[in-house]
Amino acid sequence: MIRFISSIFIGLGLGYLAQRSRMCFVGGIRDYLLVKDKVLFRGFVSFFITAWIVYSILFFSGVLKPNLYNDTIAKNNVSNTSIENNNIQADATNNREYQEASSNSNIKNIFTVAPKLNLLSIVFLISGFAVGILSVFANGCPLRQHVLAAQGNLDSVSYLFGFYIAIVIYDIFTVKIILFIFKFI
Amino acid sequence: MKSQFFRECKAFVLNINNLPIFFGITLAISAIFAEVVLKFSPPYSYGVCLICHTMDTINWIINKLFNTEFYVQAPSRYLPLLTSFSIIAGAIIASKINKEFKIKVVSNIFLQFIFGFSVMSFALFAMGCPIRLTLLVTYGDGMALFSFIGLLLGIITGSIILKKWNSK
Repeated sequence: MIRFISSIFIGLGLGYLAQRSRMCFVGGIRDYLLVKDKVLFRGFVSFFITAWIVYSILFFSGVLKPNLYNDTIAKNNVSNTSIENNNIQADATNNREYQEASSNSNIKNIFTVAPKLNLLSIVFLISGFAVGILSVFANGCPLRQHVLAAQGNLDSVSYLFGFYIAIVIYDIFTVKIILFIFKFI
Repeated sequence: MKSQFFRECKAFVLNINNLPIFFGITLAISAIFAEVVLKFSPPYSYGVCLICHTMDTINWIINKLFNTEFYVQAPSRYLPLLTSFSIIAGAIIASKINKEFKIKVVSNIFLQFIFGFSVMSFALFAMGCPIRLTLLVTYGDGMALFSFIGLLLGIITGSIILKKWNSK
């Protein structure tokens, strides 16, 4: 209940600020490359740096403890992991082995989860690339599209319809199709 | 001299909403506050994500309506997280206050529909929207680093292609 109400208020505040500042994460890098406009790029960099600083303060003060879900994923088949990655995140955190591994992890290294080159990481790379290139052509990242839709831009409203339909299709078809494909690999 | 300084300070405070830097800092702090204090936690760095939260809410609604069992993350099992929908509401309020609300069509609606569809379906494999990817990378997730690098490469190649199209 607290989460429900607080998420509404966080969203209202962020929506107000996003509309005022015209923030766009994709647009920041795009503007910097095309016309050397640094205004939005500074927003992106400030977001990155503050998140980094706050997380590292929380880790060193011991409030947060790093999780190592990918080590348990690496032990399993790759076929289970890449499809419903989120499911396995949620399940893996409840494992006992997983919790022990995370308590032993070393903050001396930069990563809380070590990067490994496998099929999963290639899927991440390709899909991240697709998200980047498509959102450049769609004139902004998801946040900017939400704000534009709220301003009355009908293009972004249809973008959001595509957004919501993709979720339903992902639930019904995509998971099954990819499970079917991974049976043969 | 002194009055001019105060005037500049006042102008700065009034215009701070319009700065992207201010937005970036508040976004980072509120996302991590939501994750740590308000416990949006079991998948980590889940404070603000436009893709995961919308997926949760839509799956939650479908589950209630049709008795299906689509996956919903732990923080939004009981009641969904409405961050993305309230971002739309907040932006509507802001645009109404500042009189920037105007209904218009810029380019091809159908093409935008396809863009939205494909961005969502790829982002579901890449673990989230750009906001959550940066949160994951700053958390120290090495696997999310791959999708973050992919995102940066995609943006760079996309803007190079745009540059070539514009120059022709």
